[in-house]
Amino acid sequence: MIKNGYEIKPKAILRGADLSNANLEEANLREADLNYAKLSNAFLLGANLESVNMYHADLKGADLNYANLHKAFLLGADLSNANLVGADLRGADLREAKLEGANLEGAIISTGWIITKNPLT
Amino acid sequence: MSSNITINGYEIKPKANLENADLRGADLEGVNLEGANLWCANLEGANLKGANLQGAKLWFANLEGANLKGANLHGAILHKAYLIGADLEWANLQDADLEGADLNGAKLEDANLKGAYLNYAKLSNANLVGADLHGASFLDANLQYANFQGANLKDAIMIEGWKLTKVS
Repeated sequence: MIKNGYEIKPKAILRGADLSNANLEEANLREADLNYAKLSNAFLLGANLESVNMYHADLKGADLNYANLHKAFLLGADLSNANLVGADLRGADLREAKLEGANLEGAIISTGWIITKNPLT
Repeated sequence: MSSNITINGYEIKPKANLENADLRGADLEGVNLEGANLWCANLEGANLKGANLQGAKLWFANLEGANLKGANLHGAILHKAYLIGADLEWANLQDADLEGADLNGAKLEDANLKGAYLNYAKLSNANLVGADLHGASFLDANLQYANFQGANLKDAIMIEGWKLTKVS
């Protein structure tokens, strides 16, 4: 699959690639290098992003509902206003990630445990 | 254990001032150091099995590889403490402050971490099987390869504004 001139495949080297607004529904980008990639408003519903590297990637407003982000490296990624409903975040590294306005309802954080809105905040 | 003991010239007793003390590899099994000041103390490889460290101040303390099995660290301050590979099985860490602590590879099986404060803590490769983390806070903690199998994560906070819920 080619999107915006980039080949979308597992382990693809897409560092800094501009995939803003791209339709990547159910794409397989397992272990890909997407560090610094521009993925704002990208459609990644159900995508396989297991062990993907997304250091400081721009995922503002991206649709990551039900995506597999198991062990994804998302250090410092911008996920503000992104949709992560039901996403698999087990073992994902979300340190310093921006999550303002993101929807994480039902995202899996550990086997048997999901994220729900904290009414106290 | 008899009330007061002396190790390396340091008096081991509740509220003792052991700031910066060198207690590497010391045998402190079952001692009472409740409320002690152990700021920057070097307890690398020490045996603190079953010790009472309730409310102890262990900022920046080096507890790498220490045996803290079943120790009482209720409300202890372990801010930025080095607990790499430490054995904290069955330890009581309820309401303990572990902000920024390095727990890489630490053994926390069946530990009580209810309400513990683990923001910015390094928990990669830590073993938390069966641990009770009810209401614990993990904001910006490194949890890569941490094992939470059978752990209680009810109401734990990993992301600001969100909490964890068990899937039935």
